Amino acid sequence: MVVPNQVETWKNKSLSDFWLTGRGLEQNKNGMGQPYALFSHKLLASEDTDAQAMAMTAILGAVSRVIDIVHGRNKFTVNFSSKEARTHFATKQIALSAEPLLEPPQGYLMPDIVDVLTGMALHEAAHAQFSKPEYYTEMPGNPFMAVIRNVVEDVYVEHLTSLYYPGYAGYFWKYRRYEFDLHPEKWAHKPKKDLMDNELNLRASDFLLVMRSTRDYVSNVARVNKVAELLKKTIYIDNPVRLEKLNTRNVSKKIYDELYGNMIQQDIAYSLPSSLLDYNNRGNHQAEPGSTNKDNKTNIPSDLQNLIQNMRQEQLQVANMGELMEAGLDPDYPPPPPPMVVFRRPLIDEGAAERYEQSRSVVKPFVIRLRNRLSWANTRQVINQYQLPSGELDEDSLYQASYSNKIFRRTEIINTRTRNLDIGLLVDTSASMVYPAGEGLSRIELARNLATLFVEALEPVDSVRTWVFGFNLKGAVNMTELYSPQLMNKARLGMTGAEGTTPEGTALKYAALRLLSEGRALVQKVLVVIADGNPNPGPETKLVKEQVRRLKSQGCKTINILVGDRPLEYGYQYTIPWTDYYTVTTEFGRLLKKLVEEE
Amino acid sequence: MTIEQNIQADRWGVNVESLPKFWVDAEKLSIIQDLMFSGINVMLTGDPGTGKTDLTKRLAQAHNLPFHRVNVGAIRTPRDWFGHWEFIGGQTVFIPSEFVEAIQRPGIVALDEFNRVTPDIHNSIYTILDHNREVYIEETKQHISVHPKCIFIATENRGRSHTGTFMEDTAVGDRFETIQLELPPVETMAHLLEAVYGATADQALLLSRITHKLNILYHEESLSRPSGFRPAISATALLKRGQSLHTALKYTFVNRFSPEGGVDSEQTTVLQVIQAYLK
Ligand SMILES: Nc1ncnc2c1ncn2[C@@H]1O[C@H](COP(=O)(O)OP(=O)(O)OP(=O)(O)O)[C@@H](O)[C@H]1O
Ligand SMILES: [Mg+2]
Repeated sequence: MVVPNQVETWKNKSLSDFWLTGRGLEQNKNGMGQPYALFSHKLLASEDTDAQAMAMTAILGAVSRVIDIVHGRNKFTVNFSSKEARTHFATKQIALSAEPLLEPPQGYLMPDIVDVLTGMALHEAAHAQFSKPEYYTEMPGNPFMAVIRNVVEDVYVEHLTSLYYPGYAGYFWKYRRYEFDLHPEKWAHKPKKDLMDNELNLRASDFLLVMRSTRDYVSNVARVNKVAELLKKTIYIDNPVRLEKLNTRNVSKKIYDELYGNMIQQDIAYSLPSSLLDYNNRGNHQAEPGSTNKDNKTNIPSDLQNLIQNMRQEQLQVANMGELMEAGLDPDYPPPPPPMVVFRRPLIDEGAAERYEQSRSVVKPFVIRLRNRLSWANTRQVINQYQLPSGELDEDSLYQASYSNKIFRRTEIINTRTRNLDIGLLVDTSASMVYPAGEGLSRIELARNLATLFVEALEPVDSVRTWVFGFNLKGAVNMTELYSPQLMNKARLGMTGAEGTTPEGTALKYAALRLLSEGRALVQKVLVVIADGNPNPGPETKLVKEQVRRLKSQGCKTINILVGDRPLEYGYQYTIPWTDYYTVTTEFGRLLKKLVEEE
Repeated sequence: MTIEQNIQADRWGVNVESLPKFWVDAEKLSIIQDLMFSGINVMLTGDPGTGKTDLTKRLAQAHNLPFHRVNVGAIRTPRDWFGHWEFIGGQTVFIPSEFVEAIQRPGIVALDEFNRVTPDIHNSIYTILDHNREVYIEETKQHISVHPKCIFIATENRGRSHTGTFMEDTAVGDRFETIQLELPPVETMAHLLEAVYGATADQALLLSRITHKLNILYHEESLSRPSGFRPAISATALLKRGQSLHTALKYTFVNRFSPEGGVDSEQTTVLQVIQAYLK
């Protein structure tokens, strides 16, 4: 049941910004909500379908996780529907209307929209979880009965979820406000000529509003209010276990009898207004996706739908949502918000494995060479400790015996690989990489060969872990995960196409963040950037310098392998210009050894 | 009653049905006691913070038995079990360890974090742990027999995030019966937080629910580390010191997880969980 002061909070505050910003627990908030602007409304309105899809994918991901928290991981998949229909329970698919995103109501900021979508998804999942099978299979006796059955069931599953997860109750409220209160004229009863017909419809419409509106709707028909009170008493109890046992079919029957007595004659075919028909259709969870509504008002274009599907398969993650939301605070004020940064795991296309094999055969002669160059990473270490109170007697220190008992020593031999390294490889995949690197080879092909060389050489070395990311800016800063300890299929290394521009500074920043958070604690980190020396001018170039400096102070080394013809100095600690495999392998090995031993 | 009297008074071997201020599944508790009183070594496993270490001590208290705990992770060489050399009065003498003393008398010897060391450290006490129950100590040229009423209970950390631990060793497995500990049920954990640590009823229930959900998410691999009892204990402590609920949650449950990944970060997930239970 809804506590009045909770409602006051929901009225004024978005719920999802609690986690969207990552700062929900910070103190000194004014409690009136954060005025985060609709950063991705620009994206959604933009012509760029890629960018639209990314924003929508990120939102879906966040909403799905709320569903996972309530119902268990991967029990349901959440998607946007390209048609109106909501949920297909047999396949555990929840399809959300994209309408709140594509046509946001006035005054709705991004977190408000996410609230509505979360409420919608929670509502659907709650049906799947708590509604009994007969709810889907039984045909109610007449259309009025159907309305009541749906109202009862909706109220029931929402309250049950709220009892188990009290903090999520507000999402249902947000969803109901969006659904039933933004266009009051849509749901209001429309008078009918036939007096009886009019009365029946009035009661149904009003009952729906009393139960579902968030605006304390009171009917002019006293009986409707009375029956609604009865339903509230039955459902809004505090004990979830008892509530789960409630037979909602019987409750509906009782409500129906109270509301209509015997006004309804079974042999008359009554018709419902479109609002109630629409409402009943939503309850029709059995429907095949797409089979119900004809006007398709929430239709999202199928190419967008496909893009979203792909991105979800690529496990696309937005790395800087919080930053974007803040930047959106004041949309009119320059500088423009930073680009979205996304990580994705590309699906392996057909030619990828073959391209990878080609690269491998080219670099084969140098694989062992590079690995040998790193052999120092595996040397055995002998550690002698002296002046211990216990251990083996150290004869050399017996002279101390009259004043100290610390005359023992201990030898520890560590045979295992001792020099651990976490290496991140960052490959420029911007459009300029299609230019030649000499020898009839494009820069991107060369970069692919080098990435292959590194992975082939390092993979068998236990002490080294390797990450490879491609990066470019097209719609967003795309960080494609091509290889990592969690993604060991090397065919992805053959995926490097070249498009977009070169957000080198941002890429450096986010690759380092990944390396630092996924790499091993206290293990030396090295970032190797294979690029053609053409970063986007302005902030991106400046950011390279800044990041290199910052990483250096954190003990992370950066090395640039320059595959372009313009050996520009733009901030790396060390640069190795491309000449040939032999020289680059040797130099890289030597440099790395030197850097690591400096530590 | 003194320890000796107690052990002689035939209370040795009588199971207790529960432990004060500590929850263990009743069946597991009785099995653990049956094993230990039958001279079978017990290995307690389970996520961090499920009370493995604490249980060893509480069993000793409940049965009024002497208790000796070995922090196995701190043992560096196979001989460290038995003692060390010291230079006293002009000569080196071997000082036997407390462990050697402890195994020669009745009581519980806890081998805490047994899998924190390489198997070669285990080797030198294998004969203590198997049916021989004896060992020859070179340094003192002594044969030591384990007291028949000396009980061994080891603890072990398992789990994805325990990188400091070593592969399971079958020789160890054979010498112990393994019992896996779990978090107490939500209500029980809440009750403990209230009764033992002084949380209010509302706080206790909230912390316990959050802990449980986070633990489920860990086992579903949505989070990279488990949440045992400890964050809830810490949060309770902060609350009792007058910190606000939000601050207490932030510094205990949330900050244990990484903020990397924006909306997809583990911290976001934890915040989503916290929100679910905040009223
Ligand atoms: N079942 C329980 N009942 C009461 N208190 C518990 C329980 N489980 C854990 N605790 C409390 O939680 C804290 C951590 O427990 P303990 O140190 O025994 O965990 P552990 O399993 O040994 O963890 P680790 O694997 O990290 O060593 C202690 O203060 C303990 O009292
Ligand atoms: Mg412990």
